Amino acid sequence: MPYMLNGEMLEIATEPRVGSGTMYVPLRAVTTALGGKADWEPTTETAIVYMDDKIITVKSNDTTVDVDGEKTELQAHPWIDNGEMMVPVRFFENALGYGLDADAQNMIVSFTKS
Amino acid sequence: MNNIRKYTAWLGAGAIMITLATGCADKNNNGQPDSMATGNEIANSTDSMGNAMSNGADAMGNAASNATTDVAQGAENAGTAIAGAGDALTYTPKIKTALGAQPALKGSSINVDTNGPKKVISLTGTVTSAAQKTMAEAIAKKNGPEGFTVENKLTMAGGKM
Repeated sequence: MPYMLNGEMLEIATEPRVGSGTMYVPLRAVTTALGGKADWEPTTETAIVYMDDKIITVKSNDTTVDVDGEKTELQAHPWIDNGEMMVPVRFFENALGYGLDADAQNMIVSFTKS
Repeated sequence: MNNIRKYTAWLGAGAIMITLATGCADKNNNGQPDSMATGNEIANSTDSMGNAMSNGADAMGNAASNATTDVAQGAENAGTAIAGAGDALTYTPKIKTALGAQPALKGSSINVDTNGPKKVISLTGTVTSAAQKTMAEAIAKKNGPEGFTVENKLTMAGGKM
C-alpha cells in the first residue's frame, strides 16, 4: 500500500501519479481515508472537502483552493481522471496541515498528524 | 307587699351575681382566682403563638425566596432572549456573507433566519444540487453561534430534495 498515516497503512485503491515533477493523489479516496468527507458539486464542477472542521473547495484546472474563505495556491492544478479528481499531494499539507513525506521514487505517501 | 316583692327581686339578682362571681373566686384561698390559666397553660399558649408566628415568618421567608428565584429566573430568561436577539443580529449577516462568498454555491438563492431564543438557524430558498445543500448547511453551522442547530429547508431549483 503506498499510503500511510502516522505509520499505519491506509486502504486506498488508486495509486499516486507523478507528472511534471508533481505527485498527484485521488482527492476523495485520500480525504475519506484520513477521516474527512468529499463531495462533488456538478453545477460549478467543484470538489468540496469537509475535514477537521474546515470546508475546502477545489476546482479542476484551477490552482486556487478556498480554505474557509481564505485562498491558497497549489503548485499545479487538479485534474479529473476517470471521474476522480487528482490533486497535488501538497494539498493535504498546505490546506489541511498534515505533515507529508512524498517518496516519488518508491511512490509512497506518508501523512503525519498530531 | 310591693316592697316584699322588690326585696325578693334584689335578693335573686344578688344570688345570680354571686354565682357568676364564684367562677373567678378564690375557693382555695391561695391568692389566685380559681379560673385563671396555670403557668403551663400560659407557656403552652405562648409556645403556640410563637410557633404560629414562626410558621408565618417561615411562610413569608419562603414566599420572598420564591419571589426572588422567580425574579432571577425572569431576568435570566430576559437575558437569554436579549443574547439570542444579539446572536441573530450578529450571525445572520455573517452567515449570509460566508454563503455569498462561496463560488461553489453559484446559482443558489439562500435566505438565512437566526432564531436566538430557539437557537435555530433556518435556511430557506433554492440550490442547484445536493452538494450545495450540504455545503450551505456546513457553512451555516461553521459561521453560526455555538449550540445552534441548522434547519435546512433548502430545495432544489425546479423540484424538491
